[in-house]
Amino acid sequence: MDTNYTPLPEDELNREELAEFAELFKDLKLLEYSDHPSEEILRAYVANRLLESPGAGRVGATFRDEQAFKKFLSGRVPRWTRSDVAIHVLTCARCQERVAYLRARRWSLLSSARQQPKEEQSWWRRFAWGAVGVAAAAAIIAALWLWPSNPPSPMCWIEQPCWTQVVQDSPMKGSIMVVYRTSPGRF
Amino acid sequence: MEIRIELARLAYAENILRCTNEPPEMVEDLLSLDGELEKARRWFVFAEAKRRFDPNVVRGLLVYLFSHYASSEFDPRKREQLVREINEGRVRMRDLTIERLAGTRLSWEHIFRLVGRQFNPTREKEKIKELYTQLYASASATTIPRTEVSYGH
Repeated sequence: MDTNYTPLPEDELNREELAEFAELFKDLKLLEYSDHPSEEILRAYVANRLLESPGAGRVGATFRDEQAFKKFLSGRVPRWTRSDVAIHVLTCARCQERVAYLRARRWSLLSSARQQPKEEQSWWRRFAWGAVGVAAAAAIIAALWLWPSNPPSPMCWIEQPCWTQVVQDSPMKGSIMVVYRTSPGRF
Repeated sequence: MEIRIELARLAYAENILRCTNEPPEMVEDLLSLDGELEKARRWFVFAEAKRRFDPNVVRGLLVYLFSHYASSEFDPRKREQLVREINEGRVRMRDLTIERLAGTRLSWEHIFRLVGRQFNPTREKEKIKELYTQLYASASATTIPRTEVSYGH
């Protein structure tokens, strides 16, 4: 692998056209087909969702065995793979138009979808949402910080005793001392 | 029949680009059913080069070839869409097809972006031509030499 590559000047770079290989395509021409891929297949192809082979294998289905290859040669494939559709569209004027239409429609849908989030993510909107989030977080932290660990209770000073002591007579236990609260709160 | 085999050879070339190709020795008979073994070999050398050299660079050369020669008509709208997807990094080489590239006339800058690095296209082209000479130029070379196959890229 060449790792010591120094970039070529742009004009020199664009001069390389691989023209020696151009003749590999010289027999390519438009053909008449009796079978065409369905609208659904073409949509999947345009969206890059069409599989390489029916079993989603690593190797393209066209050359997997002789049977598959014969079907490709006959032009009547039982199940369209990505490669089948690509070669068909490349040589079928009708399907080229259909694919161009589907591609343009998909392109405009994607473009409008891209514009939508851009508008929502303008800086002032993001700033406003950020400020609201920070304020909410600060309010929660302040509330937790200031909240007392025990519920508030009225003061109970020594000068104002908050309990009283009464001696009661019980027929079973004799004289017992009972302590009552005189104000809410703790002793 | 002949034209369908011609298309099969193009389909094979497309599979080389997406790394879904069978090894050349497995499809040699199928792709030369019309007697055009030389034409098949012109594509096989790319598959062989992918085994021996940097596979992504070889794939980059194929992208350029398809983009410039698979259609004689320039399609500016198709090019605009593809170039935008390349610049935004939303398309990879394994997503491309020969039809998607036909008529787009990509520049080498676009190819480098797809490949992920710069390379010298003239030097890489010469390496492929040398490999072709090495593999097929001698009259005794009737079959493609078998080498270890690795498609793990």
